[in-house]
Amino acid sequence: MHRQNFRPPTSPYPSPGGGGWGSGSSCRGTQGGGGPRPPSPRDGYGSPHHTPPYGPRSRPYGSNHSPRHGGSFPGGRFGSPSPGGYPGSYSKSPAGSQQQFGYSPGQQQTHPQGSPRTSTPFGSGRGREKRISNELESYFKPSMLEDPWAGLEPVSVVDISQQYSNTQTFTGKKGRYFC
Amino acid sequence: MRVAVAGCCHGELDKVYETLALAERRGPGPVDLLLCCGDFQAVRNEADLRCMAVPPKYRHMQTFYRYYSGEKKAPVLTVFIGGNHEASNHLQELPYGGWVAPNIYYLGLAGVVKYRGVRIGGISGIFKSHDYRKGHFECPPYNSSTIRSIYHVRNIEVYKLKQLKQPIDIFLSHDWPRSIYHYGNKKQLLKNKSFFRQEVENNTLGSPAASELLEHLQPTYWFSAHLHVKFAAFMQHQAKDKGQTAKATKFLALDKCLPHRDFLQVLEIGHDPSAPDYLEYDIEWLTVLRTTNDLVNVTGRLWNMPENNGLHTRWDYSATEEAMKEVLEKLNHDLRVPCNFSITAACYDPSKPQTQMQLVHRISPQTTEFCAQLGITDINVRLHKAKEEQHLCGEYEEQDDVENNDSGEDWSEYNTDTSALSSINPDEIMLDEEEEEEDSIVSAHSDMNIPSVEPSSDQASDFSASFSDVRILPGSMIVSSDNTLDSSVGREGKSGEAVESGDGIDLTKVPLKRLSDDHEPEQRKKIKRRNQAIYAAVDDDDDVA
Repeated sequence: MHRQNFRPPTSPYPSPGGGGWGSGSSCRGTQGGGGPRPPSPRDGYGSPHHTPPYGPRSRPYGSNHSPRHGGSFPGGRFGSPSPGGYPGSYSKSPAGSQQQFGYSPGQQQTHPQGSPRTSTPFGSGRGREKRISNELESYFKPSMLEDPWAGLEPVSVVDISQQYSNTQTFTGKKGRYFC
Repeated sequence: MRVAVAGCCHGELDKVYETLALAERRGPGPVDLLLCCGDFQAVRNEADLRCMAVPPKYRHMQTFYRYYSGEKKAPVLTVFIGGNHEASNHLQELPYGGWVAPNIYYLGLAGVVKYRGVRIGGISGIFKSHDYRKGHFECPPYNSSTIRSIYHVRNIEVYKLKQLKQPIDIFLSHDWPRSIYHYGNKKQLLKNKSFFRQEVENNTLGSPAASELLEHLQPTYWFSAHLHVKFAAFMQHQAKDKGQTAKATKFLALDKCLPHRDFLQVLEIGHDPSAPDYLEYDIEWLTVLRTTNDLVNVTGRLWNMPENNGLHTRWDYSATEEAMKEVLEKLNHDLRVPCNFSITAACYDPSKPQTQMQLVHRISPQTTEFCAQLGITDINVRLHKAKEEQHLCGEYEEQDDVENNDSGEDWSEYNTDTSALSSINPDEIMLDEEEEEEDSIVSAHSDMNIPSVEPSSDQASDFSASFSDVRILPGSMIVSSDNTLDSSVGREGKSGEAVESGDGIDLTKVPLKRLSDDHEPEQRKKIKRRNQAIYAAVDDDDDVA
């Protein structure tokens, strides 16, 4: 179906940076009779705390992500910053998604004395949060933050091709190449 | 800037973002950009789900639809390429890229964008020699053949990318460039994935097209997925010109999104502090799209790309300064990717599942706008026209598709009976031999008894030299017209064929782990070879993924 007169609907939300998204809560397309959905943050894309249309999170530290030049890794146009060494800032995750799974390291959910307010067949709300937290922990690995090329030295294509002298690309049918 | 890279997402967006948030808290801070290397599964609704090449049993809606509807929002700018598990009809609407949800950008069949001055390129799909030289002839509703060929890499995309001359910082491919495993800890790789051994030693694992691009583009970073294993490599290229410093590429492949798996990596990547922090088009790439626009091919006929062989009047489609200026003028000197996402398809509603959702071949308004601005052709418009003229969507004249196991069923777009789709996907790999919770379906069709080939030499070094053949593919190669029978990885494999359905849910009938190949079971039945090394040298076409 060719939409000749299609115009993206404008967002009802203000658009900092001048490049607002076409979509908005008013744009539900061809959905028919969909059930109610929970409200979602609609303040543009990227960080919900400071709202460029999309892109990076806000950073309280402004200058410590400058590229370092003259790294040992040749070819990088902007240098090769080494991992770590940044003071970092604590969580900048959007509050919305945080609340969805309730994970917040270093913060303990407090309950008033007595029975927990929430109770499910699967245990208390606190237990459920702990289960979610444990599950999320199972997805994360510290190696995700480590340099995956640590200890690797560059290997030359020349060395590899010399080690394996058979550079013939076909041994039978004529013209079995790719274009 | 901090860039996170994810392997195969398989629709687990919630988990990816949650894990990313945790990584941000545990690490040096917020991430600016998330790159996903395919199998993204941007499934909006039930119709999209039917267009995903997985056995029906493993078609799960997952969580993308919530981002599509606006219920959730991607917390970080996300850029992804397609793999072999995708809502192909959805991605087909965006051949030149586009937003699949707010803050989630698809690079297209191939594409280059810029973010904070960092040039990010990518190519979607996986390599399969049989379809490589075809045009983009597929359109919904797909049949059992086109549901797979739709995500097979085409020569036109490689050709366009090879017109690029300016340096690329990051490149994404779903399957690995062939030979890349020789530049990392191959020994460890084979320890983790022992059933890669044959293909690694024969140098048949991975995509020759991606390898060709790696050699040409020499990006600073190359990220892949597909094989469900984390693997790092460091490749030093040959200097292209004398006096020039040889470039090096850091390659990283990642696993799929499951607990305890290496599916995510946070990296510090240099950027230009003065460059804007929004996604931008890349002027050189846009120029190449314009120069190659006449090369659009929406037929299934095999063709070769133009080269300097006396048969073509033009073979250089690279971007000249003048052409780039012209493109800049067309965009009014504004390279920002417009925020023009809109919901164009019904979104999945869990409370009202639609079993008979109509499958529509859509023209995306984003693509319309992009093509109009750039002055190029929307492939889907061409397909619509071709369909009207020939009423042959998904078919083509030269039926040399020996792998077509379509029994001739009439694939109505209302057909929700997916049982006819083969449960065995020759593009799939069964990779996870160590996971008890996963089963892999191994076809009972093949009755080959193929002895394993021992390496001729086995050095103790981490970078094993023990394989019989190294392919160093020239930059321009010609495929003969009778190149139809693709090699089977199964020739050296164990019996049967493995299917990996994604989401870590795989069925095994027998506890054999092997790499699938591109062959249908019927083909493999005919093949019984003893000396694998010889046939490996001859049949070098296929990726094993």
